[in-house]
Amino acid sequence: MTLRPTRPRSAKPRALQAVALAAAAALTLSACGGGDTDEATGTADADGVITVKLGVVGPMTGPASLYYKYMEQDLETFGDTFEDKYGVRFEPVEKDDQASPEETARAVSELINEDGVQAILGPPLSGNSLQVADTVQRSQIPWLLAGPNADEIINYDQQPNWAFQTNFTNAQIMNVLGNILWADDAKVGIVFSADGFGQSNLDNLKAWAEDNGFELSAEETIQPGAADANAIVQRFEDAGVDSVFMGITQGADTATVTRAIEQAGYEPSTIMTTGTILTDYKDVAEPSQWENVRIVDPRNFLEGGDKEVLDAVQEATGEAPAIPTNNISTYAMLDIYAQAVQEVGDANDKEAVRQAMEDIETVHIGESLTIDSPYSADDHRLYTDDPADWLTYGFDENFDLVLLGSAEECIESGC
Amino acid sequence: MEPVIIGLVLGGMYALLAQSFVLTFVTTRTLNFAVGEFVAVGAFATLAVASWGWLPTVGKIAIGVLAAALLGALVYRFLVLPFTTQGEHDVRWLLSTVAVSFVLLNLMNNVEGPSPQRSETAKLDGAVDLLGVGVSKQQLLLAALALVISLGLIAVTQRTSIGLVMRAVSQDPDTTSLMGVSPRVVGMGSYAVAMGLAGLAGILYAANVGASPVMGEPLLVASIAVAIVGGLGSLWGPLVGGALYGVLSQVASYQWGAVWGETAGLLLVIAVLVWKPEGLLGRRAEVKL
Repeated sequence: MTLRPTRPRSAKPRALQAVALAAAAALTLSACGGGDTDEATGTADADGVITVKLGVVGPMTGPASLYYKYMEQDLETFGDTFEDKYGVRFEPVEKDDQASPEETARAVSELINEDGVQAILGPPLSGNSLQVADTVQRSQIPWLLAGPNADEIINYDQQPNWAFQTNFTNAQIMNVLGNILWADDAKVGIVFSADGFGQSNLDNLKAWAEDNGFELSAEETIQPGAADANAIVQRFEDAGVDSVFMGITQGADTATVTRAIEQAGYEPSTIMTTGTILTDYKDVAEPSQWENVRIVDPRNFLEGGDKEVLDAVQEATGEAPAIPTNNISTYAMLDIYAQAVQEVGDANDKEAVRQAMEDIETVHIGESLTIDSPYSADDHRLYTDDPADWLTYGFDENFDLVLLGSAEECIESGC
Repeated sequence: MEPVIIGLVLGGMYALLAQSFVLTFVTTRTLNFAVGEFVAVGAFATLAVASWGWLPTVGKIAIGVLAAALLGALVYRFLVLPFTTQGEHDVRWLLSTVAVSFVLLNLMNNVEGPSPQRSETAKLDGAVDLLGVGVSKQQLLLAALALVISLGLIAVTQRTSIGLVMRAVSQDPDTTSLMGVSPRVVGMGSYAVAMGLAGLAGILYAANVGASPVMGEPLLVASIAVAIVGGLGSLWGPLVGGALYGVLSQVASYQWGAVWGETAGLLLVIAVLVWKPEGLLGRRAEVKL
């Protein structure tokens, strides 16, 4: 199903980039993968199955390839499920954007103009999605955003709006986190990765603080792959920060920060981060570094429909869910889109499908979890920002999640 | 005091990698831009034998170093040397080493996957108190090793016949070859040692951050900067360059935030290139016409 093109790294030293481009051109063996599009008419075949040509774009290769893998895992695991439930078969047309915004723009343009896909899943990274947001909106094609958290991707001034999110957004998590971080008037510092995800975390936390009469005591950025974070931690200590938020894309970079925290003997009362810590963190950190780290998430990874999705991926692929949060979000998104296509009966009638998505009555996640009527014209987000609906997790010594209660309980009585 | 101590320790780590650039440059006048991937090769080779309980840690490290060294020698023989045959202005090796970087990166990504893998070989947990500053034992080990290896290399090049041959090949390969010394063999030897060093750095660094195909990439910019600041023609250069780059970038990070750390280090590179293009300890080459 997938051709894996040779690809350059996305972060070569600038001085080498011109040379790198030449070498990359010489080495590139193929550009992208694609599926058999003969059957993907978007309408029901003799068996009543509607085959949808689904554009899937993301970093298929390279350091960020886990952010593509979760989409592959879900399509592999649940392809038959959606066909059985809704009579909708997905035929992926895959594009590798190498985590580069420029490549995302090219890939999305090809999907729309050359491949004629009926919907687009991805890209999974916020910065790349922002790059193509206007293009997709103008092209009037259902845009399935199961990964990105940035609120800025969807401009609700543009109606009808074609983008739908099934992950929580940064503004939503900041409403929950803000209440936890500033509990007892703590001094709050943020360390954020130097990318779209990190910047969006910073912007939204600052916005929440401003709206609620608080201010950030320190804000520090960390470059991907940074060798150390000693200076960051020292600056937090100097600023008197006792409540830390890590808005970092890669778990390995989160490990760099928690390692520096331990090394400095720094003991803030609160250390919060996001579900990104579930990826690539455990293998480069020690239990003593994660014992005080907490995350909040609207999903229940330990029981119910969310866990059913993760277990199914594990069983079908024989490997751990690449990005558990996004594996769940992708399931929800495919469920919404498949229901909409089933209701309309023709994936080519994109406006009708978009409207059916917006009017969706019940979203299914796994067998046992449902979310009712999540969307409206000016709200294409699956979750709410009510702390009562969010959960707080810690970690045991094996880095298995431990449910500490709802975020609301955490705000009221500590966590 | 803390930024100075941490800066010296980090600078030492960068110096170990910078020594790889200097070694190949002083003997072959080429640089291997795939050094970052050789860091990962060493780490993954050691990881591959990490479960061999009968092999002592030193043996596991040696396997990682040898794997990187052997690959380095082969890269020089088949992918660098053939692209240096048209005189000193022939810089096709630059493209070929960048190509090696991409090929190795893709191979490792496909074989090992992009995620970091835990490496316990030669891992030192915790921190030590150094003049009142908590310093990671692992980073301190890397810095100490950089110092010892640099001094060893300097002693070898200045006091042994091997060093004499290396310097002779560097200054005049044609004449040296007329005297029975093979510049090709010396070049392969230099690449083997240099890439072995990169592999060693990778093994020790992986104990801190895990082994991954891109683990060497973030170190590359700093290491090249250190080599340039110290002088690509001097084996003392990485030590001086590492200390300056490390301390300056850390002081800037502590003072103005992490975002200014690398920027300050690169501004230092620009200043050195303007003021003393051959590097602080490099010698200006004068050519008689």
